[in-house]
Amino acid sequence: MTGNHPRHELDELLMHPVRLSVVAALAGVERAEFALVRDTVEVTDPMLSKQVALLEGAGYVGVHKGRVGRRTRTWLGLTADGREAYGRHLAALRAIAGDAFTA
Amino acid sequence: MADGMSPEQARAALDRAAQLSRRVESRARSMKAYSLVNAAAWAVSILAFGFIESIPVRLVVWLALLVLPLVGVVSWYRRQPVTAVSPPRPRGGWVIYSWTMMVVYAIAVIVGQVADLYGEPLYWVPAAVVVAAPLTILALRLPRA
Repeated sequence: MTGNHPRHELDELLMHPVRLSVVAALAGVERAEFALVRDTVEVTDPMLSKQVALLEGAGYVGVHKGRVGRRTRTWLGLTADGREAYGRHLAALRAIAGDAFTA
Repeated sequence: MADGMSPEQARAALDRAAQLSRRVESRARSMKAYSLVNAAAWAVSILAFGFIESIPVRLVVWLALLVLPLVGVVSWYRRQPVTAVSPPRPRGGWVIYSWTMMVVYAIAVIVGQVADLYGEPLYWVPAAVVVAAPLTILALRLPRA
């Protein structure tokens, strides 16, 4: 009876506000630099690293390191699985928010 | 946690997610500039090939026109903090346009050489336009610089 409620479609990993923010920040782009995501989501480096490691472990986020000049940079990007999970999570949120909500 | 989520909390989460997506997306750079610079470089290089008489000078100018803009635009692109999801997806789309340009380029050079069309603007100028076409079309399909 409770199995049809949209809350069951929410992704457990994306229930964490920082992880949801990271995935949302990456959703509209191919990849973004770690520092830009950190500043956008407004978290510290260790916090972002920790949450990205969890997302990477789940196969939602890919992490790529490279050098630009003398600096090492880290880019983050959503995987196909990550995009799919994010889409499902948003659909569940919309269902909970009510059908009229179309953000 | 999900059991306690109210419609208001769900709306707030959706609002926040949409806001973050827009904020990062607005910083994104696609391969538009990359494609346009490459299209121009290859077009000018085929003109150099068709109009410079001295073979050593022709080779140096030809290589410089191909390599320098490519190095410059790759360097610029790699420094961008955000890159856009570039249609046409999948990424193979860019590869198809690039290979089309290179095949057209090779055919134009071979025909120009075999038919001995050196210095003939009626051949090399249209050839340059045709060479530039694939990547220019791709660039026009991309969302922003």
